[in-house]
Amino acid sequence: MRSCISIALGVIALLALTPAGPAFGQEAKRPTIVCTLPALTAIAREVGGDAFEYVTLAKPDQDPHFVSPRPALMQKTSQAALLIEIGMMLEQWADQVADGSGNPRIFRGGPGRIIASAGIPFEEAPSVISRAMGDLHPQGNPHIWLDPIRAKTIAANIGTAMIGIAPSLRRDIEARLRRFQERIDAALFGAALVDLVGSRKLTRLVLDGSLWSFLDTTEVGGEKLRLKLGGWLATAQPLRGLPVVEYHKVWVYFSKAFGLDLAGTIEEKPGIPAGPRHQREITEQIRSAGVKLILVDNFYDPSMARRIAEDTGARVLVLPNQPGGEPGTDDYFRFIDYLLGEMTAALQ
Amino acid sequence: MSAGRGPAVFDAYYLELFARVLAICLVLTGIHGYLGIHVLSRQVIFVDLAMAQIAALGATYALLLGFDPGRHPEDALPAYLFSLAFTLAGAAVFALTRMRHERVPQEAIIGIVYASASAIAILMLAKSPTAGEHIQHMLVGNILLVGWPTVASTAAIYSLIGLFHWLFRATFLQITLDPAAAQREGRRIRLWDFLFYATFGVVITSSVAIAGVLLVFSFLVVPAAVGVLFADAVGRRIAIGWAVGTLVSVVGILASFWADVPSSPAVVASFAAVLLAAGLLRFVAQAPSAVAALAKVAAGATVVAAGFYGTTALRKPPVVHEHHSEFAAIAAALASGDESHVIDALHHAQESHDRHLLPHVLHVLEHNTSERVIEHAVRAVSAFRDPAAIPILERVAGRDLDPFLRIEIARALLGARSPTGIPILLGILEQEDGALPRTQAMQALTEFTGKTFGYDAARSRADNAAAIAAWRGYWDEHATHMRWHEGSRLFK
Repeated sequence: MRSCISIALGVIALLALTPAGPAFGQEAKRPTIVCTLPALTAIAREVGGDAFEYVTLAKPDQDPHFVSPRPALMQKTSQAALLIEIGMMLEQWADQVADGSGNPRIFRGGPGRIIASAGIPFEEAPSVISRAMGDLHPQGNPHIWLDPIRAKTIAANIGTAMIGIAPSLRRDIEARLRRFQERIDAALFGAALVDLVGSRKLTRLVLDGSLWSFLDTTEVGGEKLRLKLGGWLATAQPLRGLPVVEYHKVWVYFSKAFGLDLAGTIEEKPGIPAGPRHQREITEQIRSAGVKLILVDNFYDPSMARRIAEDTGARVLVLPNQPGGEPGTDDYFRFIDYLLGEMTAALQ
Repeated sequence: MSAGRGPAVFDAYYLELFARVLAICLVLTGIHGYLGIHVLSRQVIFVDLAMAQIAALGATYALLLGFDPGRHPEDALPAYLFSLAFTLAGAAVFALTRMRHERVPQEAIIGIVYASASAIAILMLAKSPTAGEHIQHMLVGNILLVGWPTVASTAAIYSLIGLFHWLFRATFLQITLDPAAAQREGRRIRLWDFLFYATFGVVITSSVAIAGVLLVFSFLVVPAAVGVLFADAVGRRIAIGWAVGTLVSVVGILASFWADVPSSPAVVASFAAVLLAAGLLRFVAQAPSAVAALAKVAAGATVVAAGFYGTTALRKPPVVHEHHSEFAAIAAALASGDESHVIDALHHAQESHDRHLLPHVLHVLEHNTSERVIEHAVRAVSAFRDPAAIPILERVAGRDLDPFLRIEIARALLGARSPTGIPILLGILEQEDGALPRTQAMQALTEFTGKTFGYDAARSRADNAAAIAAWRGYWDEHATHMRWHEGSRLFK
């Protein structure tokens, strides 16, 4: 008898603890958008606003290459309307999460599986000629979110996917996408330069790496365009041409966008300690190029970078790789602010 | 970056690096060559792996409490103290589990401790993002990264421990080699076992952080094993072990420098080679007939070599290239949908001056929708200076494109000696509000016609209405018969 009562009490307690989900007659549930990386979620929030629920699989200070596909991640994606990833062989664990979720929409090739890097030009891919000669890694460097220009296209890709699952929200989504892109332009170039040159030309110039020569050689009203530059690029002026070395191949897009001179990479092959020759080469490179900063993402072991820094007098700068990777950088704009702030501060 | 691969030239940089790596290897040889004798005699071969894992668990626990030496170098001491505390606890476990009449062999206890310490570390880090990196780093280590201060401090710690073992050598050796006798003499075995494992743990904690589990294991077991093969007295075994350790360190590091491979695995592989050679040497030396033994060794070596050589026949053939020529590679890339590849190919096409590529470039110009690709295609087309491009350039200019891109197309047309670039530029003067595109359009117009009609780009569109009207009148009048004059280098 007593056991019957305790079972009944247990059932009541369980019912009381069950969260009031859609089964309990809530209004239409917002579709869930799952992003592999915090950078994608930060951008998706800008585009989707309150219309969606957002879930991020990787943590902001986690190595995006290696996330163990835990059951909790699979459970989080089981109801996903979209699974957004960078692609380019970065999140190779995403397939395991998707397969484990039992949600066929987001299986590779499914309608809800979105490759945010689609159509975005990449760097560090072998040139046309060498690819023909048998190089088998044509996908290029995947760390595209570190370039605000490319973030605009990531946002556009995400926006298209969102309209696909919520066509009635098209106007809202398009308006927020435009707003985000305009905010990026203003934050990057300053409003004055955007007014003068226009976003489309400036975007092409950054992608071609020819913005600075354009600003230096073009005059309007007898004044060099350079004087009209504002925003992040104005903040980044001290970094222009600054020789830096990275630990892992991460910083090429950021360097191109902000004019840093990426002189080398410490890690030759991920996960395999460097041999003596490479260690020597990178040390000499740092000395001869006068490298001041060694950029290390905050999930890598910085001991090798520190060792080399000790030998060369360069300075190790440990940086977040994703929005939220350091406190107060959750927002994409504050994330870029933070990176530029750390780098310029390190020079003083 | 890597210029040719081959033997490294030993210059000052390599000498200093070599000296550093050799110094730390000799420090490791000194203490591990001695401790290895204990480990072998006690038959607790894998105790160092278990100890290293316990130390790693301590570092992991420190990480959970917020001490992260990876990010904050000043956290190194607290993290080390946590490792040490865990190591001492492990030493107590191993001291207590050494039974006189053991039902469960101590090696089993060691395995259990290793497995559970690893598992608990993973559980502790399950909620921490940097899990993989930390666990991996604890087990890897890289002797190439050791600095002189580390060499000095490690040498100092190991000397103190060595001195402690030297002072109490009789007791330490007795409880290891002859625990029964120690028992009879009334020594406190549990206490001395604890002291042994505690000092052993301190050494392992430091060594693993420097050199990694694999290398530490090799330093511990291989020199002692060679010593046991060739000598019976403890002193002689240690001496042989030290000699072997020193020799292998030099050979392994030289090999790593010569072949440019990571030093730690090179030294580990050298240890294996030396142990194999020592075993064969002993086999030959002890055999009743040296000749027969040598023949057996030679036969074995032949079989192994033949096996390796034979399997090289199974090597996969290299991938055959799809494109046999640069031309085909560029054409294929131009037809690909990928912006980076198309632009890259456009640059190659522009530099090749191969007229057969022009139709491919024109196809990109006409059908690609990316303004960036169009811009690069216009530049590539201009380089060919071919009238075949003119109608396509005119068509593309009619699209809704960024004004700067339309100016570029107009310049390409004018450069191809077609006056149809002029109305495109006039369109910019008429439609654009911004001063910059109008300035650039005006510059192009003046460059190719020598005229301005009083147009001032610094002033607004409305203020320039008269100049624009004059330009329009001029174009309407001359459009049909305007030609390029090579002498004046102007359209007239």
